[in-house]
Amino acid sequence: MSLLRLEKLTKRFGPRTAVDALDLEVRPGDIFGFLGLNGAGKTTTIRMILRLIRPTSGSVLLYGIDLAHDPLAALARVGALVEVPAFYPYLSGRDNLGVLARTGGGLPAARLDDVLARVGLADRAQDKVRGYSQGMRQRLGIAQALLARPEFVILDEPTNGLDPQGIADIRALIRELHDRDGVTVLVSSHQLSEVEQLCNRVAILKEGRLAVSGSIDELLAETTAAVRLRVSPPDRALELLRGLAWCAGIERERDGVLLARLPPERTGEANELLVNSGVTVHEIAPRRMNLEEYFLSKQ
Amino acid sequence: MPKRIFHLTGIELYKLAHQPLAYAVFALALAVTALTALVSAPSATSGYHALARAWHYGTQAGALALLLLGSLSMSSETTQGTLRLLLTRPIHRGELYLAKACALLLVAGLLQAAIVGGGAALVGVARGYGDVVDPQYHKYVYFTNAEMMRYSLQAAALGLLSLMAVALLGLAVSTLVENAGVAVALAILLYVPLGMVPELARLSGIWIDMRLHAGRTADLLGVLARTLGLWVLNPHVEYPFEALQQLGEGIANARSRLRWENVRWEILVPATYMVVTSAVGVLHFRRKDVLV
Repeated sequence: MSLLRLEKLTKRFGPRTAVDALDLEVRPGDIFGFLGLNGAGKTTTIRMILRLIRPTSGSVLLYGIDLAHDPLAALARVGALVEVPAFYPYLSGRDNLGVLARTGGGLPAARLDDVLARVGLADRAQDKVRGYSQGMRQRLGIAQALLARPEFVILDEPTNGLDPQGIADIRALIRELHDRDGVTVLVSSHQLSEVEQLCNRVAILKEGRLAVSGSIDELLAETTAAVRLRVSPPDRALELLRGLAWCAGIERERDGVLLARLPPERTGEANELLVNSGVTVHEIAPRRMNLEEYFLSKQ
Repeated sequence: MPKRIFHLTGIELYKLAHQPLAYAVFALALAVTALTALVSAPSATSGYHALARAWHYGTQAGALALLLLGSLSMSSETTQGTLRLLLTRPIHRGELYLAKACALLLVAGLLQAAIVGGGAALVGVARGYGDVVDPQYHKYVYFTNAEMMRYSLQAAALGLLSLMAVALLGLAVSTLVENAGVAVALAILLYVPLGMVPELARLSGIWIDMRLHAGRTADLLGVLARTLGLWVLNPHVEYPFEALQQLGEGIANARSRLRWENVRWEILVPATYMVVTSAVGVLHFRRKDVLV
């Protein structure tokens, strides 16, 4: 069963279509990466999932419940950080969480302290939010998302404005939420290396439409079209591989390492040719795109 | 539903209690009340004239301050992003709107109580109360102390209704406009300059007749001014206190201004504002896309 299913979800603002007939599925246990350039429709989609924006057409099914009919039961099980974290600047971090907890129906006071400790803000909990740094605000925003012990967390750009250590902390927190608490996570981010390390499945949006969706391993496996070879002597190998009709191109990556665009199924043939011609092959491995290259290839 | 609105109203009041602006609203209204209570009309024979002036200007200042508070109520949450945060929690939008409305109505009640109580105490200490008598022939009593007390309570109650209508007008504008600054400007524009339109219509009618010898323009524009004046909110905030002020000066005709046939408009118009602005606000808020 899907935890979240979007069916032909569409949003138009006047003549502009921000999200166009989007079909998407997030399964329980996923860490789902939601990618796209600025203006691709990620945040609009997230806002429709959280019923901040009314879809023009299509539906959002959360835990099998159509949000158009009964949003509250489903939303009670969801935590979210949408774009920039938002707070009452005249309240302390703890009081901000208190307001949110009471708005949702109330939580034990200990839960506020737990969640503050979890994001590393326990010692600054009583300080007014207006004095918080960008990193602290981001962490408090994540604390807001985790407050009601959600089973599903939506994080829109959670690492915005964070330094590398902050980014690593958030990554570790998301990983811990998933592994320890069994929380399903949908994360939208421009940090593609983070997404690649963190997520098991992704969807890429382009101009409001779904460009591609699936498991990262499967998507990137399809991109294997080159082979990296560490050989000696490299000049001789270069000459031999250039002579192959099915070698679409070859280049030197660095000393002794070549990158040949070969069909993966013919790697063995290339290896045999090199060895039989007196070239020593130290290493031969398929090279696939990383997520960033794959993402850019889809734009 | 009423229980949830009650619960959310408590949260709204908690937020208001932590905002310096809420205290500034009270400080402004009380300062104006105190100032006018202490400096007004020493020639009047009773403290009721000073009381009416203090309440009049205090309520006017309170209305403006409340308009500011109301027009920031939703728009500031939109601008700082906390509205989208609240709406991701399992709450009905209509309930949130009504909770904000209830909180503002309570603030309006407290504000009016502070203006009325503060003004009455100050005038009592500084001038004292008593019958409103003829300034030359002191034995001639225009209105007894008991009568004036009744009129004062009546004016205070009518003033409260108008203040509530002003607060809800601010809230509705605050829902229609996302930017906090624009919401405040629009609310003030709807309240202050529109309040001058009936008088401007009346004066322009007289001016046209004088310049162009048109004859009937003043009559036509006079009718327009009266109709407009009936449905513009600003004069209704002032009306009960102006009437009380005239009573405090011993103007006998002013008694009719607080009779039912005139007072019913002072109830009907603010009540209509409260119902219409709340209906527009709730309906808009329930369908609104939160983009900020």
